[in-house]
Amino acid sequence: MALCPTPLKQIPITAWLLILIINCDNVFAQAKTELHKLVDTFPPNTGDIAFNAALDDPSFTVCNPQIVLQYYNTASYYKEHKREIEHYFKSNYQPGTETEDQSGYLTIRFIINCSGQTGRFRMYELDTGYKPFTFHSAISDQLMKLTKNLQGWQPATYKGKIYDSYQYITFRLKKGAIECISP
Amino acid sequence: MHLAIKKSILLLVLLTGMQWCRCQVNCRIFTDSSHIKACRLYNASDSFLQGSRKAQQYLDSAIRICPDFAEAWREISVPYLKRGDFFTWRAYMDKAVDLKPYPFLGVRGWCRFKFLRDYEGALNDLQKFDTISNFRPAYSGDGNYHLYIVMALCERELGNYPQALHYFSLGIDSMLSQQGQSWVGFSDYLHRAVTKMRMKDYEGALSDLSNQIKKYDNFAEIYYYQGLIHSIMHREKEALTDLEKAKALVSSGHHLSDIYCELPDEVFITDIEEAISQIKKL
Repeated sequence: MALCPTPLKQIPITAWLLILIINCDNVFAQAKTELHKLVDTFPPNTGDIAFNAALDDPSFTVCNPQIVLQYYNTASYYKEHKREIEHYFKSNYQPGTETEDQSGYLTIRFIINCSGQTGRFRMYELDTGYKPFTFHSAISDQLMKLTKNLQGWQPATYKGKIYDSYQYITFRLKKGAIECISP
Repeated sequence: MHLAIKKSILLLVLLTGMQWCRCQVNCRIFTDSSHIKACRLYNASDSFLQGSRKAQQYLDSAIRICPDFAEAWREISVPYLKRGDFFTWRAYMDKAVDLKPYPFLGVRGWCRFKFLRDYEGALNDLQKFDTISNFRPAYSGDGNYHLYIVMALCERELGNYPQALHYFSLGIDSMLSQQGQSWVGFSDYLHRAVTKMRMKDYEGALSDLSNQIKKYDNFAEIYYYQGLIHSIMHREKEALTDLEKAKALVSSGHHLSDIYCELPDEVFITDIEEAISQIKKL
């Protein structure tokens, strides 16, 4: 592993200054990369979905915005009903035509509120190399619609109390067909 | 028998924890101030909930102070993986792998297998990791599998059965002869049995299930797959007995399970009920 700059007595002062400048430049260059978010831009919790009036149904409410669990914090409806959910998507989804290049990962993340209603759906699309990708709308719109229409969700419970929670569903698509559903 | 299994699982978890898991780093091993500061921030991030703003800020600061500190890049990536933002996860994780291929190439490969079912990508990472680890690739991040078993499962899912058996042999038979029975993973025989079942080697599959029962027998998947094989072999009475046992084990919570993802060869009660129904129709 490469180490950060360490002063060495045997290096002449001019060489040392040069090394320092190069390393500082590297540090700043890396800090400025697109990936590197400003410290203040982190949400209260990674993956939080804030209400967006342009996207979200205003009638969908989160019971306690301060505590929205992740699906893996408790026993979740998804994990217990994975087979039914898979069956629902695989039996209702139609891949369509001209799908030769439609491969990758389509993830839909959303909130299940304390009443078992779902909302604040967000979609993330990646190709097989994990690069941003836009699937044909016939695919993405259809999967979003099916996810929004999926009924029967039950809220997360922990020690007898009911909570709002985040869930995501990732569709691994191969030439437009659903290859598998995770997590 | 059970005590030995418990001991081996505990040992595996401890070893895995030492190598893979989020743990405190000894900052005294560093001599330069940027590494020391980054290391302290990394350790301090552990005081906050994973993925919380504070935890991410501490890790982000560690990266800013010392961009070479691979552990911080890896750790900041984790909540994105668990919460379905695989683009951001890869961006951070790739940086950790670039800086420290050992052990993070192995971690990335395992994550691609577990969370994304990216069998091809996972196998690619794990094969490279196998080489750089001098053919001692250790265990998955959750401690469940030797990485040769993960590689076997990747090959199996890609349809490369002979290669899958090769890796199973490295993960089970070599481990057995070199380290002993306690080093064979708790569900390894089951996964090889399912592979052999897919290859239509039913006798071989039953033999591995028999080994699985000797190793650890208290989970439903063993009897579910044994029931399927018995059914294929027209031994319906035994199949139904197996499947009823599998159903009882699932109902009492004894089945493969993971808090994040469906596990390889995991069965659900609906799978078992469907298999029973199919046999009863015959």
